Amino acid sequence: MNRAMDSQEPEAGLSPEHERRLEQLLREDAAREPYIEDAGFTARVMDRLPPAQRSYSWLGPALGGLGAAVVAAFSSLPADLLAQVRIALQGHLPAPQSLLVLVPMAVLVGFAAWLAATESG
Amino acid sequence: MANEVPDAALVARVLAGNDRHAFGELVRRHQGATRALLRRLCKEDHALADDLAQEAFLQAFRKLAQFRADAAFGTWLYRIAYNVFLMHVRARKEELPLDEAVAADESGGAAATVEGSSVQELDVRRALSKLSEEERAAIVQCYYLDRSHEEAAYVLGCPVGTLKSYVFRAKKKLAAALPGWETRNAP
Repeated sequence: MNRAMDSQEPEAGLSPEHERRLEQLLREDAAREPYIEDAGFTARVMDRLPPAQRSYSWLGPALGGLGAAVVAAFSSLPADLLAQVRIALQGHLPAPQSLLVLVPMAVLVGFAAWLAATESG
Repeated sequence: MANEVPDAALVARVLAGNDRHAFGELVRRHQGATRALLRRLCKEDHALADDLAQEAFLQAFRKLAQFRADAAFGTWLYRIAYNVFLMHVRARKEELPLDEAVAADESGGAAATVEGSSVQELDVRRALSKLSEEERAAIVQCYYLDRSHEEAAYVLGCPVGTLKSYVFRAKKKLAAALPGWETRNAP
């Protein structure tokens, strides 16, 4: 029940009975139009929304992966590393020291790809 | 309805991932009440009310990060809608010379709701159109939307005491403006 009905304010103008009838009249009028059909209103609002901002949160991990690749390329390991990648692709465990480069690189690139896929969806 | 996602969760989705579908659901849920509120405030000018309702939803989207769960989403939205309405009224009064603005107010806005309306309904709407913007908004909040005085005061952005004064004055004006309502409703 609306607290507006609790007539604690000074109501010098209207008797309690008249006040009650007036409130009833207003509520009857309110009940005549309880709901308005959408009729395309929501679609019109959605059409006018500002364009979605592109999110670039995938960029950090992607750059991290790229950085790891660059470090690997300029180190003394490139040939070794490629050989280790081939070993990994064949389903064998690569040398432990190559994992220090390969694992972070794979995790970062995978995470970036996942973020990009999630945000574009 | 029991499994409906709460409004606050939809707001969180919009904020977390720019989820436009979630915002669309909020619009779908609240469009009826928001448009009805604005129709009352706009003296039943439905086209104007819908334009203002659209603007209110767009503002709500832009300001969504400011929404705090201390108020219901609907109440927060009504406050935005009321502010949009007030800005429109002020802009219109600045555009029109004073005489025309007064004449436009007194004409009862779009009195074109005659078709299909009962005499009593028309009486009430005509009487509502005689109220000031604030008084009409107070009556709409308290009796058409069944808001408490505290909620209505929040929406109107005024103290509860001021809201009560609006309601009090509005009732007196309505009683005077409704032709023969006392005899018609007499037991």
